[in-house]
Amino acid sequence: MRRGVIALDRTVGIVVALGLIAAGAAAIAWRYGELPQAPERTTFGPWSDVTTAEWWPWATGAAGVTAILLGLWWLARHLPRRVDGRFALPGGDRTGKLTADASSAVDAAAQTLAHTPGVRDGSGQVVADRGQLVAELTCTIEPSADLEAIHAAALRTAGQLADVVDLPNLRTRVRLRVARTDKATPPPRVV
Amino acid sequence: MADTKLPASAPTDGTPGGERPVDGPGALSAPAAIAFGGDRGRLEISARAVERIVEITARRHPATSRQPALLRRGLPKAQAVVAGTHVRLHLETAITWPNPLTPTATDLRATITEAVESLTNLSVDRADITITTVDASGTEVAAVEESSGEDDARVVAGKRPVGAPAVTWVGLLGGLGVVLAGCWGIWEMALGSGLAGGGSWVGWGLRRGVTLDASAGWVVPAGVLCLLVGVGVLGLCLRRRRGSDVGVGEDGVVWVRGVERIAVESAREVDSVTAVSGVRKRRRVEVAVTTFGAAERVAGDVERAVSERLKVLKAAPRTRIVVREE
Repeated sequence: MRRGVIALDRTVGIVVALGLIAAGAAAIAWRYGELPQAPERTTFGPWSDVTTAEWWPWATGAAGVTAILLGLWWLARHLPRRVDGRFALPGGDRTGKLTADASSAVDAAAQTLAHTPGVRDGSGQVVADRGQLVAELTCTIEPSADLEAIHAAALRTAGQLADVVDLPNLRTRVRLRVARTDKATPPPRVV
Repeated sequence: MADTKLPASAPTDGTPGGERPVDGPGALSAPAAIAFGGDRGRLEISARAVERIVEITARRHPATSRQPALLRRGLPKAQAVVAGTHVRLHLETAITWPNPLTPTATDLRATITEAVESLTNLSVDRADITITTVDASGTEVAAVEESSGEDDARVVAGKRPVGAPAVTWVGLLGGLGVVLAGCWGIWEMALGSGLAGGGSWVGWGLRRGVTLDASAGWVVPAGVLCLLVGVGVLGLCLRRRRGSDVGVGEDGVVWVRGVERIAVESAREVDSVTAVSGVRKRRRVEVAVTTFGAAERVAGDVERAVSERLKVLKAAPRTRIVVREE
C-alpha cells in the first residue's frame, strides 16, 4: 500500500476523531450546564427551500459525480500496489537499450530455493514496500523443516539473486510460511 | 554482395510514407533491403529473414532458454526493421538461472549484431534486448549449494514485514462514505430535475429546521457515543503497524510466519505425546500436549524440543507448555 494513502487515511481519521470527541464532549457539557453561555434550547432554521431552485439539480449532480469519483479514487488507492518488474539494465546506450524483468528473476530464485529439502514451493516478485524496492521471495515450508538449513539456503539464493539482478537499490526479503500440515515423509519412529 | 547498390528508398509493399513502429508488439515488417546486382538479378533481404537470423543466433547462445509458443509467445522472438542498408533489431528472450542479466544481455546484443552484419552485410544501427523470463526449470539443488558464501555480503535486507495498518479501515469506510454521499447527490439531482418521484430529504430538513434541547434524553447517549467512536478512531489512526513475521538469523533477510506450527511439530515428535495443539499469542507460543507419560518429563522434553527448533530465530517467542494427562 502506498505511504501517501496511509497518510491521507490517518489525517482524515484524526480530523474526524477529534471532531467526534469535541462534539461528544460539548454535548455532555451542554447537558450538565458546563457551557454557561449556551442556551438551554436553540433552534436552527427553517431556511428557504433551495431544492426548488433551477441550479439545484446541476449543483447536486456535479457534486455527486465529483464525490463518487473522489470516493472511488480513494478506495482504489487501497488496492495493493503492483510494481512493473521491468527495469533498464546498465549498459544501454545508443546501440540499444537493455531491459529485463526483475520479477521473473526473483521468481526463478524462489523456485530454485524451493528445491531445498523442507521447502514445498516458492514464488517471487518485486514489490514496493515503505519506500523501498524489495525482491520478495515467498516460500511455503513444512512444519518439520530444518530452519537453519533453509536459512542458509535462502541466504545463498539471495546472494545469487543479487548477482543475477545487480540492481543497487533492490533489497531482498525471504518470507517463509509454515504449512498447516506436514507433507514430508514422516521419519520412522522406533518404539 | 561486393558491388551492391542499396537504395534508401520508399517501401516496396505500397505502404504510404514508410513510417512504421520501430519495435513493440505492434511492429510490422519493414521494407526489404534490395541489392541490385546489375544483369545478374537482385537480392532482397526481407525483415523476416533478419528476424530469423537473430532468433536462431540467440537460441544458440548458452544462456538462452527456449520457450515454446504453446500458451504464450515463443522465445526468443525478434523484430527487425530494415531501411536500406541499415537495420534496427529488438530481441525478446528468456535466459536460464543463474546467468546475470546485464552481462548476458550485453553479450546477446553483441552476438546478434555480429551475426546480422556478417550474414547480411546490413549495418545494425540499434539492437534492443529485453529479457522477459528467467527460467529456473533446469535448476537443481546443487545450484543453491554450490554458490559461495561471498554472495551473502551483497544482499541488502529489506524492512521487517508488517501487517496492513489499522487506519486502512478508516480509509475504506471513508471512501465508501464519500461514494454513498455522491450517490445521494445524484438522487437529489434526479428528484430536482423530475427524473425521479418523491420528496427531497434536504428540502424537508431545510423547511423544518432543527431544534436542540439540552434536556432531551438523547443528548448524553449521543455525546458518549461520539466520544467512544472518536477515541476508537483516534486509536486506529495512531496505532503502529505490527510486525507480522519473526526474523530467522541476525541478517534480517529471512522471516518466518507460523512459528507455532513448528513448535507443534517439534512437540509431536516427543515420546508419549498423543496429541498436540498450539497457538501463537503476541510474544508467546502456547503448546498444549496430551500425554500418557509422566507430565513433568514430557513437559521438559517438549520444552527442550521446541527451544532447539526455534533457537535459530532472532527473537524466539517465549514458550508455554500445557500438559494434559490422558
